[in-house]
Amino acid sequence: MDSELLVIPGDLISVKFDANNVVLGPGVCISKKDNESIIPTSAGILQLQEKKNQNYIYIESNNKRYIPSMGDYVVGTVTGVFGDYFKISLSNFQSSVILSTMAFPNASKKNRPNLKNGDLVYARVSSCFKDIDVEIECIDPTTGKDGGFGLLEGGYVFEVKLGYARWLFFDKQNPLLEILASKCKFEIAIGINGKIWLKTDDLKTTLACSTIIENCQFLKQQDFNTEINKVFKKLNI
Amino acid sequence: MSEGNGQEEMGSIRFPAEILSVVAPDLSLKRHLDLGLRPCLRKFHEFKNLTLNVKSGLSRYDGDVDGESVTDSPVLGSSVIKSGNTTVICGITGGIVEIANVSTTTTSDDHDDSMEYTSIYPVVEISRGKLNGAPTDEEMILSQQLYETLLHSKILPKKSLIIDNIALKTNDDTNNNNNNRKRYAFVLYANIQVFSREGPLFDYCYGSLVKSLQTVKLPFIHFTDEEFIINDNRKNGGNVKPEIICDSEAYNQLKINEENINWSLTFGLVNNDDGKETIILCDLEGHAEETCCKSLINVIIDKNLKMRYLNIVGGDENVIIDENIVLKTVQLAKNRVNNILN
Amino acid sequence: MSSGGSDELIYEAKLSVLNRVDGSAQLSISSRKDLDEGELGIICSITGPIESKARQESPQQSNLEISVMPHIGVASTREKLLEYKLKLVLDRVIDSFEYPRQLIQIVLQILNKPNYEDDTTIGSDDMNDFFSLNDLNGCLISTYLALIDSGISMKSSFLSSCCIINSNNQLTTDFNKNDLINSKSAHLIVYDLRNGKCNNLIYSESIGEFDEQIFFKNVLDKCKKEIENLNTKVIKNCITEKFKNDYIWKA
Repeated sequence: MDSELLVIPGDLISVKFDANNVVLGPGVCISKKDNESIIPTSAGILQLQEKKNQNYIYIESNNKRYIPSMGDYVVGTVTGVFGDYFKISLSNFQSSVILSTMAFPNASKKNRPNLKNGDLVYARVSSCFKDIDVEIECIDPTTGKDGGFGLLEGGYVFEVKLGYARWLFFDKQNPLLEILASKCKFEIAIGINGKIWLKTDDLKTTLACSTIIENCQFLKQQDFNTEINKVFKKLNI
Repeated sequence: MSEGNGQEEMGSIRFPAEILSVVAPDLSLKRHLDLGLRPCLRKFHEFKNLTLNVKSGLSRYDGDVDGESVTDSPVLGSSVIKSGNTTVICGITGGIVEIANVSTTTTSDDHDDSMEYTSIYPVVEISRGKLNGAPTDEEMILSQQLYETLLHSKILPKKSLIIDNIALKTNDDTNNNNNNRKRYAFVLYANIQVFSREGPLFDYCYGSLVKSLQTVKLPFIHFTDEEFIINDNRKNGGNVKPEIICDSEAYNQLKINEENINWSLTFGLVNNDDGKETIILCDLEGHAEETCCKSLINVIIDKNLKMRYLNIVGGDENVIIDENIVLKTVQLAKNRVNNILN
Repeated sequence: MSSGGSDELIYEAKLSVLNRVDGSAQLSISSRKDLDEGELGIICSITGPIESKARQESPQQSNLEISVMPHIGVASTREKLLEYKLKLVLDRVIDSFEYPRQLIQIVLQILNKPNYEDDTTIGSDDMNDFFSLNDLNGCLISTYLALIDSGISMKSSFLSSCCIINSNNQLTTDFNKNDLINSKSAHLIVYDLRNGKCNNLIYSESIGEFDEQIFFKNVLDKCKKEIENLNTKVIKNCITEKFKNDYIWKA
């Protein structure tokens, strides 16, 4: 933590890079004064990565409010059913997003998905501009198949911090999920909007797993094992 | 954006100047500035014409105006300011409150000289064609700014409002036993009406307030045992027995600290087209100037050309506010105040 | 909780004190010399960007709704003026084009004021209303901290400092109510920060008898030092602590 650079808005990022292959992520923008220097617009850990000849610059910070961006996988709740779209809520007090009825595999005018108010869906943000409504889709754009998206039946939803959810999602060798997987069977859908859907065979295991995931937000990695054992023991599993 | 076949030519739309200033205020302003003018066709450092009138015929004791006096008017002092098309009428009324008999000094040992000053309570109404609306944000903010500015200017000492000599006006001549009587003081209110708002109003409202204050005449107060019959249109009329009444002819001039009389000026700062030079605009007027000049400097200067208040708002990030600009602005303000107050 | 300060004032700051809103901060400023005086305590909460009502919407920019609650009594025109001045600074600093048609709600509650026990009457105009510079100073700093906590896009960081010149011509940031009322002049200065150094003047308010030389040479320098001090000793630690807590699971 100390070796990484903590920046606040307005600081000058003094890193040299080739201006042509720079991709700006969340939290940074180009200064309007000289159209060249990059300034952070939120406080956080500055991340500089180089992948395939492209330089990625972004700020890693944990906000409470989810702001949709392209390609995010999200867990949403249906709040309205209309003629050719559904209204989905991704987080409280924010504008709903739109899920078109055609954004499903094998969709046609006759074959409409059967979603009701209150249903949970796992979807991908397909279009995201600041000025118009955000749209999500339940279809994998590359394969045309459902890709794991769509209605989530049963299960249990809980909220976690956004930074934690991103770590659970993006880190392939996530220690927490690996240890959990070795202890019990579960189905999980992680939404970048901070909502996690969990389904197991019985209520006790669901409660145990969700409690573990929620509690581990506040613990160091070395304490994960003890927490898991403690919770499982408490629920007599 | 329609994708036509081949190239589609985009024509330009022409707007009259007034419409352009609403649709694209920053563009309209920049075009005027490049010509060395402003949308209101004044030069950058040219102020609006100002007329001050203190004999408005509204006041209770202005009997020397044309021999007429409005003896039942509650207005103790008033003024009218006209600047461009904007008219600001300020009327000062009063109320009487009881105060504690012994002057309570706090336990502080310091000579709190500032505590001896007070302010009046203004209410600003900007006419917008809507009758009886709730006070808008702008009106509330102006009223509070006027109250605070007058307080900080140390113009109105508390002593001036304390009623010292109250006579007893009754039919029998029992002497007034002053020790048992309560002590009273005046409280002053200002009602400021603004017509034809064209730009930021604080300067004119404050100016009219200060000018009115200079004309305020406090009535003589009498204790009375008289009974009055109030017969108004409401059902609960009847007999009213006020303890004190105000004389309709005798008055005292309100004693204010004339040395501290001051004037407020607001300036807008904007960059010229290539962003190299900062232009100071005096007396902002019009929609384009008001929305585009996000950087403002407000100065209050007293009669002796000393600065009493300075407020710098750097709302525009392209305008860099440094010592030069502020000094230039203050100099412009001092010259203007010299013309107005002296 | 992160505390520190100059040789005149002690600042204590904490982020993420409220868990139902998007960003929050608690700040307290007290005198280093006179510890019995009490502190200026303010808590600030920020919710946003959220959906706004149609009448509040602005087509290309976000809208700010600010509420200041006094420590005693109900909000009056005095708080309205504080909100207006806060908005002047925040409009410059928040990147409003990033969240068009959305609303950012900021609520500030003044928890404590120094010498509170002396206020025997609610809203007594002399003591309370005479100067609101100190309140504005606290509100600005706590709003900045809450904005950092909420992650709302900002064009630059900013901090403020309040000082007086007393009757002996001494310039000090440590003053109580009486000092403020009897001062020759009182100043509130807000600067934006670049790499820990004061850059451009964003807002300044100066009341009393002073001239331009005093303002530029003494007041601005003093406040710049105070702001940079506040930034390095308190703000940076506060933000670092927040990140340590937020990312504790990463270690």
